[in-house]
Amino acid sequence: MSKSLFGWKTGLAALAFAAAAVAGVATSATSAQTKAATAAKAQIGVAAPTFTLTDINGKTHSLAEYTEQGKIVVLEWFNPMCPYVVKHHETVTTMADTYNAFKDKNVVWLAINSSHQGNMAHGKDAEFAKKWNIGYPVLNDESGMVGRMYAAKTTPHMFIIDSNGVLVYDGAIDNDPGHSPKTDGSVVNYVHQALSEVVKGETVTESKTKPYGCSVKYAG
Amino acid sequence: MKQSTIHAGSSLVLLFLTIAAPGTILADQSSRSPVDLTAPATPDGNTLIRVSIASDLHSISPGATGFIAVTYTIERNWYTYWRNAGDTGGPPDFAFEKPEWLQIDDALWPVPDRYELPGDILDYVYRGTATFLFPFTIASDAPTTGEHPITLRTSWLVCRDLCLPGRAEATLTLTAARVPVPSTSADRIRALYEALPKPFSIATAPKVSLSWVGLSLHVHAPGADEITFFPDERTGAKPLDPLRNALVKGDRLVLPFSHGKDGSSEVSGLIRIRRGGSAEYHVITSDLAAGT
Repeated sequence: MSKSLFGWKTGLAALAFAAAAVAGVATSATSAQTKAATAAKAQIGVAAPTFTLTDINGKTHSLAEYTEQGKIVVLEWFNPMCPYVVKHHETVTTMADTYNAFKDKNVVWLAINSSHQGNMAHGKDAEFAKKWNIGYPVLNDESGMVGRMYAAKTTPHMFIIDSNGVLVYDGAIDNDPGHSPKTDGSVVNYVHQALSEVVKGETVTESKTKPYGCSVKYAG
Repeated sequence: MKQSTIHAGSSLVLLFLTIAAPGTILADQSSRSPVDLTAPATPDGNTLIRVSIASDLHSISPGATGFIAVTYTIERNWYTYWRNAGDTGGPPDFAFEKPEWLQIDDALWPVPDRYELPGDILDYVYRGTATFLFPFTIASDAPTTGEHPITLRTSWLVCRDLCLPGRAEATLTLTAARVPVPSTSADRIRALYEALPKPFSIATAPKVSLSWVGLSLHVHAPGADEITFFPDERTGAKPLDPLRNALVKGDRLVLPFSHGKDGSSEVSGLIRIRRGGSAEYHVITSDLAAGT
């Protein structure tokens, strides 16, 4: 493989990337200040895109309102038909355990299902929320608009928004991507780790990890 | 090696296969009907992939080398994942229960396909059939008589508009002898091995040129209709936005990379070049430092 003699091109590319990144930041920050969901994309370190969705009981939840109340918000992309979601809600209780550890520490936890109407996972949230005794709201995003704003790819895919409305974590629930849980004590719960830092006002050490799970079942 | 009668009409099949997970023995795999996709019941992930196991050796002997071939036959419209699953899903898992004198190496994975899903999701998948070859070596102190079962336990995630876990167990019985004897699967397995991508070189791909310009990999394949890069996640450096950048219609691919989280710069993956109706694959192993 030959070495390049055209290193200057890399510099230009880097400038182009930097310009694009700055533009993205500005767009996200501006949009996050509006209550209407927009095409803004979630990005670590900037204001999280706002949204309003309805849960399985018909109650509406507005991210902007939680942020105005100074709440820390956890978003969990959810699909009860996905084996990885079953793993963390039934085989082991990672989600419930993490939620229970922080629910009294100014943390709001929202599950979001972005499965489209024709998918087998659509319409089963209430059944599984009851079966798994989920203690937090499960929101319907069947249009996929919020999922696409956050670029949620997997179920589960986790996001944490701090009390200033800034996205501070984007990634996996933990470092155990198998569909059967490890029992050797090597599992690191990234969300627990990040929340422990956020509630203390500290910077999140590991703010981006690769999420794992089933694909979010967006409409084509 | 024990002869088997798994496939109806195939008296030459060498293996003795048991699919243990759903408690089913597949006596005639070809007679199974497809899953009824309109049925409201959730399909069984254990039966959406059928597993068979074979060896290229009928008889094994001390010092012999060969392959164990594990074939997934995947139900129509469903898919499972490459070793780098991509944005979602996960790769199959394989574990063997075997005698100590049998060393089985890591799988040689067949080439995957690229699968784009709504939501800017990019996965690397298998559809139809996929055969994983496991090179093996018989130790010099291995026995020269007797029959020796090798048990495979494999699990997977199989997806369509939902994902299901599945697992199976399959047993291959190796017959020990003083000299190795090829099996009736030997030609098929050898052909599968020969078809696997080889490391890129001028000798293997005289019409293809690769170079680095800064952190971008440049591939030029004159006359190509399409060039695709399939990143291997076992190394640290990552292509930037492979959904948009790692496939090009035409004969020139420019693919920017970034260093891994830990600063790692090693690059590996497959390149697929399509010309007309055919495709060639090359294994790429390189380093971002090559362009600096």
